Amino acid sequence: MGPTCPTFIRIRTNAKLYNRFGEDFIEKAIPDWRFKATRDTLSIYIYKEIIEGRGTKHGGVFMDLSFLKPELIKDRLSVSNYYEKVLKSGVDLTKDTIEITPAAHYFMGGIRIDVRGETSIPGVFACGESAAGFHGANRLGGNSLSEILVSGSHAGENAGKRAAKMKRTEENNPDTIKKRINRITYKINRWKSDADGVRPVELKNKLRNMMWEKAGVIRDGQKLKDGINRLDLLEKQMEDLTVCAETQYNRDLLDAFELKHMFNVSRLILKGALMREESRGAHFRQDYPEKNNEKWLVNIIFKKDNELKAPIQMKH
Amino acid sequence: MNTDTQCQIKILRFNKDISRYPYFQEYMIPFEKHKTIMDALLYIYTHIDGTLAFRASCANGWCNVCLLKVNGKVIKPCSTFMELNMTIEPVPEIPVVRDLIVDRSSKGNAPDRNHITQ
Repeated sequence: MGPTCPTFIRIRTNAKLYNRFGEDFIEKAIPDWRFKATRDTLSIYIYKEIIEGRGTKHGGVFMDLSFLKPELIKDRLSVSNYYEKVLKSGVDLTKDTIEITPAAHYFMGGIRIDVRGETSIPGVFACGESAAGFHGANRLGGNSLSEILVSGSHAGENAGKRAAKMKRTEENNPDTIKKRINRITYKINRWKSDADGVRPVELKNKLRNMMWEKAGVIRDGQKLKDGINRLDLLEKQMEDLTVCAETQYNRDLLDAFELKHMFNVSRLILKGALMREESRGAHFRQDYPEKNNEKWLVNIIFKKDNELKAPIQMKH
Repeated sequence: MNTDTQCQIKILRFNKDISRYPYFQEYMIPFEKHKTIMDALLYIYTHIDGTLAFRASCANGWCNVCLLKVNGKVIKPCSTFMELNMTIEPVPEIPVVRDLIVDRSSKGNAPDRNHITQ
């Protein structure tokens, strides 16, 4: 894993992108891409080069600044010491080309909250990226700060007020909580006693790779359906997880719990992406490449039932 | 048969449930020139020893959560390349919770390193 490649690089310099054959593929498609191509468009073009076999041997494309004057590069990339940071990872941008590739960096969907930031679980608040953010279907580079600052303090303030007048209910009385803890402890002990099950980290990596392949930069109906089938198969392996017995800072255990939630979120992503038969922002469907405002100017909201097979509600 | 270059890593481990004293454990992993020390720790955790405790977060050298002492120097493992021989210890002078994880909020004493066992 290397450092992220921020948007300011292409905007502040004359960076060029090349595929394996030295073709300036993006300049051909969108001549003023540095200012006009949003992150999603750029990702799609780069990803196409890679999956169609024109990428580098490490699975990326080349970014080149080295034709510029060294002082200019150092000056333009002085934001967050980017030049020095990349130099430390062994690449001197004044001389070398660097390999870049799209990656999952930000999540456009999220938990549904009310005006105070409270979720449908009483007393649980969400904010920022986790609550679907301010940005709609696509976030432009460098714009995440607004929700970090605004939505965090908003939700925090409301959570404080809510906590001050929270009443004891059936849901939060000590007996119910104790029962839940017992149930979780029982599960943990079962995981710990199973010596030859699947390691959570293994399953996590499989799930990650599957999601990248099936619901990544370029999506289509068939791939998403395959994804749901693969997800069902992988989720079955959750039955025989094994975790190590450590009591403190047990990474295995953390991975096991994260994995359970990752399965839920992955299912919602796949189902939502399959339903939305259009392309909008970061959601690009090869089989429906255009935006369809007549039919799809809606949010897709999933509600949990006992099975978590997720029935749907639409909101215009 | 693995003929690739191996990287020898000695990690100072500590678990108060087992012993009052920290001890060194040795791991051998495939050496890759352009991978970071964090990649090495994740490799050990994924393929060799799931009980190893360490912190990891931004992977970009911003948050400093993963700080460790490697070959005598305090560095950011997520943005420092691995070397062929590494001795990895928790950040000095701060009490250790387990293995490479330190309790930054605590004012207590670090485990006694005069009694490191091999």
